[in-house]
Amino acid sequence: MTAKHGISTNTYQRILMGPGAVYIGTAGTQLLGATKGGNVMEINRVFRDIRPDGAKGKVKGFRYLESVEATLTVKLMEVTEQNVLYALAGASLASHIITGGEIDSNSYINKITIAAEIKGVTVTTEASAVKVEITDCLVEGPVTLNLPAEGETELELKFHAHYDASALTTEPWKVTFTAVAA
Amino acid sequence: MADTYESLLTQLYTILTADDTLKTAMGGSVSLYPVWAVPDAEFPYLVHRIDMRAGDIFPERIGTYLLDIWSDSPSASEILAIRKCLVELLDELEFNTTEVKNVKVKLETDGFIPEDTPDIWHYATQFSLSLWRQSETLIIINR
Repeated sequence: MTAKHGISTNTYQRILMGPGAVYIGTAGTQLLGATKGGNVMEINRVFRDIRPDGAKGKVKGFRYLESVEATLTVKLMEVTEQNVLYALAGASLASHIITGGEIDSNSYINKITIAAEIKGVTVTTEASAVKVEITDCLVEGPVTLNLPAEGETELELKFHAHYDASALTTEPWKVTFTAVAA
Repeated sequence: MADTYESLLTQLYTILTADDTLKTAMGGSVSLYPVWAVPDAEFPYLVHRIDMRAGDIFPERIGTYLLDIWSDSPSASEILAIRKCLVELLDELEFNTTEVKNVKVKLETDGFIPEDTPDIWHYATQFSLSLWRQSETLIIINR
């Protein structure tokens, strides 16, 4: 009988579960904090679509990478000084007061990592975790502290990855699957 | 290979009846009955059952694990001590068995149910369940 679905013996071992944990820093071990509403990782790679005369659609060999935008959007429940500082690229924190400033090389967060678990994996060669890293990040977008009449506020941070000026062919993101046996 | 329902209930039974803190809270041993307690069951005791329904795709099932506590005591201390153990054991619990995979247990509602009889306390807890019914799925996709 022809299968009418893609489910197999091992399907349950290959389901990536949210929301994932977000880490900040090169080591990838410092938790950013509790999040709410899930996290969204996007790697948006745009390809130029060259249509020579006569082409009725996209043409193999006529596509070129045009831009790469990698972002991670988190909604933080933990509204700490440091997390607000992350949200305001270029700002400074002194004596519990945050003030604005120009962006310099120190404003970039060297690495943001989101790690998520694949449940139920028993085959040692299969991956039990997926980690996505984006590098040289700035948070862009408005900082909105919406204080509802009842309930908690969330601090939404959208981290944008940046190319390293000295390595313009290396895209500023990496996806790592970690096998059970690793 | 066990039935999905049997596998779930057996695993939960094993977790609850093996826990030393819960045993202490229940006076030395954990009395846990499926669906309905035996007549004149000795207090305190627990009763559990599962209601299941379809998930997004056919191997996924979601459900409710209903676990009731019954106590005969002059105060609510005993039943609340038992409740504390149950929540600490089950909320956010994850487990696998041969028959079911990626089972996640999450506390949804809990509270007292009024009883007419003096000193009889009844506390109802409901946990949500989500799971992958592996054994049944293998039969279904291979039949």
